[in-house]
Amino acid sequence: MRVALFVPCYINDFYPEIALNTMKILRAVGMEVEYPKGQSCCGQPFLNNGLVEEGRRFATRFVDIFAGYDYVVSPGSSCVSTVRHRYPTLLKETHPSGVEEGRVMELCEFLHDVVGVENLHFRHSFPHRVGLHNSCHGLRELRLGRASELILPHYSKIRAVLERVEGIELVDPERDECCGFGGTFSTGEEAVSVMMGRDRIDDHESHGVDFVTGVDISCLMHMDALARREGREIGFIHVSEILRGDEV
Amino acid sequence: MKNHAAEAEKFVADSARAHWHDEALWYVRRKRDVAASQLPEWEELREVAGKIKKNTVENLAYYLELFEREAQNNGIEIYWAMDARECNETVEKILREEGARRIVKSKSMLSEECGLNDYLQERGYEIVDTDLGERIVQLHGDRPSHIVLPAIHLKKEDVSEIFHEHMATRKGESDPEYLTKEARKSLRRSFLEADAAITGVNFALAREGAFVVCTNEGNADLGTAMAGVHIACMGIEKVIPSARELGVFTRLLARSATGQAVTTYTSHFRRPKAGGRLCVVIVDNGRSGLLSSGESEALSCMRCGACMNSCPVYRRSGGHSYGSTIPGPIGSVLSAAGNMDEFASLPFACTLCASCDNVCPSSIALHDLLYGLREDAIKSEAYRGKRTLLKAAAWLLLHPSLYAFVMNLYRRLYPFIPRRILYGRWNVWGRERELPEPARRSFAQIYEEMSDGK
Amino acid sequence: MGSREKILSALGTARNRGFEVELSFPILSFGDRVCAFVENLKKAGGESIVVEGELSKILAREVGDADSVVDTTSILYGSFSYKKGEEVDVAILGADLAVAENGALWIDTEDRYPRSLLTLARKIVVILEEDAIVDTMHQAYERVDFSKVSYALFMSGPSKTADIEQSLVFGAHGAVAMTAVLIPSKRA
Ligand code: SF4
Repeated sequence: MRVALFVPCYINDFYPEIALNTMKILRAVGMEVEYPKGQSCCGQPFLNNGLVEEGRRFATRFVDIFAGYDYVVSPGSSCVSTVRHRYPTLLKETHPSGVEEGRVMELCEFLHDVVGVENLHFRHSFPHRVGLHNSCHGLRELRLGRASELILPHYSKIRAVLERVEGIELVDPERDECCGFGGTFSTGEEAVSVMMGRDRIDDHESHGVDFVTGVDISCLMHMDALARREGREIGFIHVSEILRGDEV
Repeated sequence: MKNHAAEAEKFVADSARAHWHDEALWYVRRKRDVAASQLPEWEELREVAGKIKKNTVENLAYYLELFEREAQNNGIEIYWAMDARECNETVEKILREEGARRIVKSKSMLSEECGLNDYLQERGYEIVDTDLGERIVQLHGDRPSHIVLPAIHLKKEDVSEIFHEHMATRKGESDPEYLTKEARKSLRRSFLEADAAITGVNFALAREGAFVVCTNEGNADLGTAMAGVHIACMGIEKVIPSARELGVFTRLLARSATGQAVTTYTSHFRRPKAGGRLCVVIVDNGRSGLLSSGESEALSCMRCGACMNSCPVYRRSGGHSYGSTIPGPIGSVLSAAGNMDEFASLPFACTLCASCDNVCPSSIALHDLLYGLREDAIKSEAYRGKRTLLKAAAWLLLHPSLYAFVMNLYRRLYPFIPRRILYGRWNVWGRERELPEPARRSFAQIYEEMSDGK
Repeated sequence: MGSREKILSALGTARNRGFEVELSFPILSFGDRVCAFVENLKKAGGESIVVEGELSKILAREVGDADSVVDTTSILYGSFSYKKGEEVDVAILGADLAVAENGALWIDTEDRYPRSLLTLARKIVVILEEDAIVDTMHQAYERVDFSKVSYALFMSGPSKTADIEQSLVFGAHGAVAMTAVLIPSKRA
């Protein structure tokens, strides 16, 4: 299967190892992975601030760059969600048949739905207590797990994938609540944003975890930024850093 | 323009209190989860409720006319009011006809929206809010901070002081049981002496020409049982087809609102009592305009308050920070859709976490509505700077090689930028947070090198 | 043009009822409706008694040494009188519908007594045949014949409030206590 790697702009510049790991994992499960040139932002920062015209330019660009692949896989759940949740309305006129929807997937989602967890055989272990932070767009837009509001059977694709790694002990926090990042919300509503972030960290810390992981590095980056300022011990790592992908 | 962020900052500044507020509402949210989970059909029920509301709202003229006709057949007087002013005037006209001076009012968000209390008080009427939470807030000269739990922002010690001042309760006595009993005594007098009772309407039944008022305290029932005239104010969106649909809504409302299986009193008014008058004022006040906007879905709201309890921002910023009658997610939608100049900050008082969508018993896609409203909000003068910056960023990002050049420059310079400058006043993020460090090489560079060496 | 016409015309000219929404999913049902009712009424702060022996004896016990009792069922006392605004100790009412999922009892005044009795009685005793308990509000509303209703309510437990720091207090305005007296079904 030909899989295009979609690397969100901030991962490209600040967290390239996440993209690298993602690529390795995908290759390790037998995918033919390419990183199409010229990709940039999905447009989320602009769309989430009502700049629809700018957003549309990013969307059109995205659709052109990623045309022709079997799947587009990304380590950023909210960017994937932007494509799946926001692009269809945005591109109604130019792409009436719908775009990208089922094809663009978050990494864990792809491993769970397309590859299948039974085909994941990691040879390394990760002997740590790890808090699972459910990023909102992954949880409530992509539905990677059951949000606590929903009266549905419990499931978590992220957990199912991570549990294939030996030794890992995943811990759910009390609340599957937002970390308060929210893009420009983090500065526009600084006070609430900071309080939300600290509350999430406190919640995870109270469970004695060594790390907190998740499918969206922007949320993890927010909590990490707060934790580092306060000199807290807890570490924040993207799921791809646990899955690694050296050997599957 | 109202500034949510500034108001929120004040609320958050008292960290202990903000956390107390957050916990109190989270507790209600959890009670809702437990109550909802008793029904295996919960999610289907929410979906059906959304469909019923949507269908009714789309055919509102039919259902309102049917309701009017059937209600009139039952001896209910129907009045129509275009806006808040007309609603208030209509209520006053009825009060004047009755020679009523003393009024008891049960909870009605519509009357809050119309400023009915102030309007009547200015004209010499004595109006007593009888819902305990609303009474506390009224005595305090305050406004409700939540649509179901009006006094959720006040601690029992606050209530104790308010009651001590206005009802001469024992100083320093803050036992809720004691305070409630004192309020019962004091309000009992108001009930027994009332000339008129004003209530809201939870659901109006078109086919039956009746309407339903839900309370836990029984204050609507007691007030309307005593007073000669009962005036019920309803927004045009309160009508549903029939009692059949009521089954769906009564199952959802209390479970969503407080985690009870049903409100203690679910009262159906179909005919005036002997010798009394039963009047319904049907109020538009901007709702028909909303119907033709992108936010028409907001008319499906049944005012349960669940979206507030579930909202991580609301819980931490308090209801008053929204500066609108209805706070929280649905309040932000309604206020911004109705008056963007005033409420442009509300669509941004949200991280788009979508928790509200999942609890809403009418299945309103609240976070999508807030997302959509940002298109207008960003045009507000207050966001000129933010808009310019974002547009510049978009331009840069749409030129990948230029963007890569800029980022390369940044990653080279980064180690040499003094912290003083990096964390200067311009850096709001950095006031309480560290910046992420740029990587030595971008992924694009790494990939290119890898492919070169391949 | 009056406000009525203005509002209605703002809503468009079409007059359709749209479609009827079907409840096409399984709805909660209880193996033992009585048991569920008792449990849910208890959660709402109400008591239940299943009648064994003579009904009037049970009612007498419920009434205790109350001074003022209004028995609208005429089971305990042959007749009753009640004037609007009177505060009484106990009201005895009959209901012919109740709901298992939430402990609510359908109380219809049938214009036989002033409405204020339902909130000005300190304690409410409701007599109900167990057969009259349905699973959910859906079935309940199917059973109600609104053409006869002036004022009626589903009442689930005594009046309550949690407006002061979420502390539940009974007797906010209306009844402080409520008891359902259940008459076992004849079939059983
Ligand atoms: S929008 Fe939905 S959740 Fe919020 S108050 Fe209205 S009905 Fe309740």
